[in-house]
Amino acid sequence: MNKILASLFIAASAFALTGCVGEEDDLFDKSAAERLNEVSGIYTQRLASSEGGWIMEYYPQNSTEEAVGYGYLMACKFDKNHEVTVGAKNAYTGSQYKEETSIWEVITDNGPVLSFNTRNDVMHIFSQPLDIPGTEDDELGRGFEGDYEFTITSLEEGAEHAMLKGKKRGTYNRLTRLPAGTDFAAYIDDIDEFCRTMFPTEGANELRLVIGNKSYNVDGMNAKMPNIYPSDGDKVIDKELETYLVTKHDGKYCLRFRSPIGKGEETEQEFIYDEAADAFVGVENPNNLLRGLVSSDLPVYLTTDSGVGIVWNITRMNPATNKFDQLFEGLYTGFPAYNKSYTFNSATFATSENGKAANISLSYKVGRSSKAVSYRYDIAATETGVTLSNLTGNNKDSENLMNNIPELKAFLEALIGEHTTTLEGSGFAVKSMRFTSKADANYSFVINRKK
Amino acid sequence: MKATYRIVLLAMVAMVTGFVSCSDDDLGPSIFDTTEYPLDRTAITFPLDTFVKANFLDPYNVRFIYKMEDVGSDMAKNLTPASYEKSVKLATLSKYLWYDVYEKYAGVEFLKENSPRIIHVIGSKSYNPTQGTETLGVAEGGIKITLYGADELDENNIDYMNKYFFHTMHHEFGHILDQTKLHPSAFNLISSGHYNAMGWSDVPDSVSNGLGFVTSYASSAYSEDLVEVSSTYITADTLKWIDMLNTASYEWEYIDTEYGSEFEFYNAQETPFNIDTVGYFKQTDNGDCKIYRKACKRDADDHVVLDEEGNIQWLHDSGINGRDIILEKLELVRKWFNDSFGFSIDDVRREVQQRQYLTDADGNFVYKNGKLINRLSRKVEGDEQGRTLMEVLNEEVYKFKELMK
Repeated sequence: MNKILASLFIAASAFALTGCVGEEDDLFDKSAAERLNEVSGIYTQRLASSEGGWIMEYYPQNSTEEAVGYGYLMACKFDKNHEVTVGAKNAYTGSQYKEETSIWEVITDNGPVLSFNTRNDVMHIFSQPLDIPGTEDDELGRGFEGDYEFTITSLEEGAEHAMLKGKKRGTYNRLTRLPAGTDFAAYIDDIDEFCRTMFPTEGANELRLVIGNKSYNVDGMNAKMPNIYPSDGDKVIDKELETYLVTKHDGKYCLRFRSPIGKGEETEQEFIYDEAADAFVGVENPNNLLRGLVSSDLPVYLTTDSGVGIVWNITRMNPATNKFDQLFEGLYTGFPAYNKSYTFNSATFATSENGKAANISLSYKVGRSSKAVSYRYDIAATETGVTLSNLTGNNKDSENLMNNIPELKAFLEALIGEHTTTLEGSGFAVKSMRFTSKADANYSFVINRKK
Repeated sequence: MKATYRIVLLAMVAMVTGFVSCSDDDLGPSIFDTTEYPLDRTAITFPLDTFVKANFLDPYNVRFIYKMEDVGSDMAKNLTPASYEKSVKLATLSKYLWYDVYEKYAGVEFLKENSPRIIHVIGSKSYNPTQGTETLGVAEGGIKITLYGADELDENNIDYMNKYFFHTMHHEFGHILDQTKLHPSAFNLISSGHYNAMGWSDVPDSVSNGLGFVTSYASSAYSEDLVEVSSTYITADTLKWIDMLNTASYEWEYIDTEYGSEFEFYNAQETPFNIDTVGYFKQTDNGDCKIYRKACKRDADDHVVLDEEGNIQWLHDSGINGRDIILEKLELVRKWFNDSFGFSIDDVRREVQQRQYLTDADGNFVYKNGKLINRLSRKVEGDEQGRTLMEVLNEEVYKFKELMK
């Protein structure tokens, strides 16, 4: 009994002696609230320190849905007097540059939080609970569901970048410092123009992304939400959508995806455009590239699903060798020779059947009526281009015309054989490519993407 | 035994020492920032910050929060802050149409005791997409009132302002008063059995009026009924109040229909003596379509049957006279204000109406084309700068610009 009681006494004494061990007097010389206020002041000063303001890469949600899943650029100028000017140019500003001033503060309800806490039409259109114009769904009560308050996760003194995390939706929205005197409207116009040039709606717009030892096809950069799928995969089955934004910093265009791209150990999120290389080079690893098509991509591009759906014009105006020109001009004389009421109009090239077939379509007029015939070739990739073979008419009319118009037959048969394919112009916006006969270098022509 | 006793005693002493060893420590500074910071004269918001401090915080200990604090709002909803300019208007109007009125008739002490501690202004409306309804305002525990839709404030539209702000303010203020002094229990029994907590939003106001409720929302619960009577009485102008009572004096019925077929229904009415007998089309939030109309004598073909003098024969079969019920409720509310708080709701109503609408030198309302004249958007007589009353009220905020650095 005594042993038990003695043990109890020792334990109790130990408890008494250690009761306050965990306390530290005066660890901080100020209260938590006072320290938070100081933090607010520090971040307020840092945000206001950029004379030229900041460009914000803003993502309302981590979604791949139309509108709410896209990224939006917003230029922000934070003044010390807590006035903020926000400028943007997007579908919801009528595709015109619009800016508005309101109030900003760094509050401390969840660490340092940047709050746009009075109404700003440019910013809060992404937070208001109203239906989104132009979408099929009724979003009343929800809207974009974007944040207007952001936890500041990083902003060092004099930093070129700051990272903000949306308080409700958790999207990461980067701020990039702009040079003093930046004209917001001109800055955004410059980026718009760059994007239009690099990713035009009339371009082929299929890019290649190389990350580590993996290669991806990037389809639809001009549609804000490109499909990034493995080059050896399937465009539909392996579909991975990710949005991105382009900014300009230090005179260079930066393309940054909302999330890092790549599977496995190596990923890359941001790329800087290298004009000399005509490619976006990875910031983390310069070997990671986002590039347009190059000539060596064309054999695969033309013989897989990638090129399907794009129509290419063959016209008199396109550069071509004399031999091709003569064959093409033959169409203009051959049709009326066959029948006076027949007039040849135009020719196009396209691929189909998952890139296993190439089609030449010819439009012509009979009197005032427009008509068209199509011819099919098997198309197969070679090391430097493609081979066209097994010419057939798509129907009886096609066969009939081919058999009765010698010039047409000559034109179509001349296409049979192996061609070297080369890009004309930038691979980011493939507008034209050249076919040159492997057997006869004097037979060469250019096709242009139909707008 | 003695040794055992000593050891136990020592152990107890040691444990007691253990428990009390920290109790004498100084608690130290508060974790909350108790410093009273002066307003920032360099801040662009200094004029409004000064106005709300001078007119709400200092006299009544009320925080008028116009820089929306989402942690103080419904985080499940998508809401946006109010614009600075709209907040200026709402702050000055809150003083003019609410605080100044109550101070005049109920006194400063009443406001200090009963005023909410926080008024939180939200710019966007507050939708409830699942229910298909909209929350106009919220009162929480007699402490806080949240006002939505400030970005659409327009002094030219008194009806909108009353619906979203001042009706809401008086409504929510009524809840605070109700939580302070019990209202007459007789009030709860008047419409007992007619409250409809779930389906009130599908019933038009006119039908609710006929059942003795000033609005459909009043029919959701007796506690809402009470404050809807007081807030509607204070904010509705005389014409609207009389119209509502007139509507309430009829019985209403409804006919189920389908969307699009209401036109066929209207066309089938061969004797459309007036729109009340023909009916009003309403599609409820769950998609049901109904025609609401005043109950009157009809023939087998559903046509109105007139009496010998050509008058519509209104029916009163239910035994409910909505008008009498509403007036009975108002009388109880009037008594509650007088007995519990010591002021007249009629005085408050008259003052609010006279501040909203133009009156002549004798204090009588001025009408134009049968309508009251908005005083807020009208130029103030004798003002050298030719300003409207709204502009004069806003100047109470903007005058503090002079103090900015």
